[in-house]
Amino acid sequence: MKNIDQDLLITRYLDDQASDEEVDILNQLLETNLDTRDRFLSATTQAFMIAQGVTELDQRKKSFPVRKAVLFSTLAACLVFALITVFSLKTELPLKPEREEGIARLIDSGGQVELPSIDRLFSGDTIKTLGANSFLKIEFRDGTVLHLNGDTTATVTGGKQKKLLLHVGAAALSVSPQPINFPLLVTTPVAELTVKGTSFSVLSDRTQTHLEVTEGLVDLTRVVDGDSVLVEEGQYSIVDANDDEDCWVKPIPLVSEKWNADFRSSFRSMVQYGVHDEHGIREGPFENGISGIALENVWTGGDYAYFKLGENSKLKVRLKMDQPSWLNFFVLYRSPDYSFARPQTCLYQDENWWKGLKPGEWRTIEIPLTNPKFTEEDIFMKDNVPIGWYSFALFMSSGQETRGLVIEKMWIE
Amino acid sequence: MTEQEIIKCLLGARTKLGAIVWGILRDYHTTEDILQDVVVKALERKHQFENDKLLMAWARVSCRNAAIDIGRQKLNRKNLLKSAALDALESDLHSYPSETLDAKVDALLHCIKSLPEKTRSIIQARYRDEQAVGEIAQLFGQSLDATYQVISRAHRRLRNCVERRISSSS
Repeated sequence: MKNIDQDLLITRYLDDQASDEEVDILNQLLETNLDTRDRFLSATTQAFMIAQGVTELDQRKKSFPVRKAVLFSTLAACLVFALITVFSLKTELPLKPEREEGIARLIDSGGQVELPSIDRLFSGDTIKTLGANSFLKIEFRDGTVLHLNGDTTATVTGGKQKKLLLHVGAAALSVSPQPINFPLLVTTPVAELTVKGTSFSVLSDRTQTHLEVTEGLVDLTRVVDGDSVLVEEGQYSIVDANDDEDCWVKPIPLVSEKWNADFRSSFRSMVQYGVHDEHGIREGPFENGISGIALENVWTGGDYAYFKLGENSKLKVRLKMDQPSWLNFFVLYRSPDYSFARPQTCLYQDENWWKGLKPGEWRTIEIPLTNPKFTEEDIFMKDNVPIGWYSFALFMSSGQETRGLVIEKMWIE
Repeated sequence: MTEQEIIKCLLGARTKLGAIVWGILRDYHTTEDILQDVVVKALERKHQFENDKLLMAWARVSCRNAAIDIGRQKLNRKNLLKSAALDALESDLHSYPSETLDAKVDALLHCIKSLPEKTRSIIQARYRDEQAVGEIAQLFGQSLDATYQVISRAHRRLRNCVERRISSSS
């Protein structure tokens, strides 16, 4: 009986759909379990209160029955709606401007992109960014701005209600206030976002959607079961199609210029993907030719590799190798306000770090992060990553066998 | 007890009595009918109630018996809770001080407003509009299981929210 979802059992009973066996279980639980009784009484009290129509605080003050109040409100709303509709029909007779000008215009792009038209979007257009370095920036007629990151495919529809179908990839939106009853809808394979006017970023693949709200409020619904949460300013949520738990929201972690990772106690849990074993980094190609280990956060979340680039930020790594070799260090950064949605990758390498390293000798190398050897070439950012950007992933690679590599800890100072 | 005292006492216990009757019948209108009927009968027998305790003991039994009879005969409810389970529920419910229940009801009103829009619409369709879960699933274009999940999560979320509000206010 331990694995029974008691709330679900109670809900099924209250709908008169529980089987004989389920009702037996419920009876048994109610007789013996205080927690079940609490859940049951809570549910029936909630249901009884809602049934009385007291879901709106001000309705308690009405002197006539609530159901009549609801009826009158509905009739009034219908009348207003009818008047608005009649009025709208008259005012919308001229050709809608979006038929000629489109629903949005392209204001920037980089890398390889696919657009049905050169500089504007029409309702139903599907747009693509091909490759990690590509991006698109689009402005809707009401001022809503959409950034599409690399390797992203999305379909946009317009008119009174804007919809963005994010097939795969990442987007950041700054949404102007939307018409009443016509919120902007963002749909991913696993979640639906209802947006009235706010700024947020969303990253999605086939099983997960990451949402981070920087301003306003987004209603996030998991498609598979309809569970939903309100994600407020300063909060984030990750929806997973395979997750049995309730949807959740958490505060966006504060990012500081300090960060450290101690691998002596939790090495494996900190490595999100990559090739590694107790003996070190393996040689050979691994995705894009990189062989290495990675500490990754996608946008936010967790404690790993998440820090703000300071003026004098240094990454320090304490390590030893049985067969001394060399490593490349990569850090992925993103802009803190998503004004530049695409991440930036920096490579750090210096042969001096490895000079004279003896087998088994512990060494702490210091990597000045503001001085990368190479920053991804980009039409906007030919120089280094700006101070204040956030790191969200860090990984190492080597072109040589580095058997016997042990990294004890890493930290940012 | 005077008529006024009886009405005041039964109105004060309305949520407690209603929650149990609704839990048995799962039908709002019939629950309302039973609660009103109990008030009328109590007024007819006003001389037999010397104090609140006697009145409430009688009201609890009357509500419960009426609910079970109507549930079986009129509403054709297949599965009704057993006496032992109902005893335990009533014992818990009536051990709450009235102030605690009032606070819970007030907290609940706030918590319902804080539910996501879709969830709120679904539980209102279920309990205020008395639609079956199957109908709601069709209306919202999702599976029956998913709709049950939404409703059960809503109950859980409301319970947690009420507890948080009460503990923070105390």
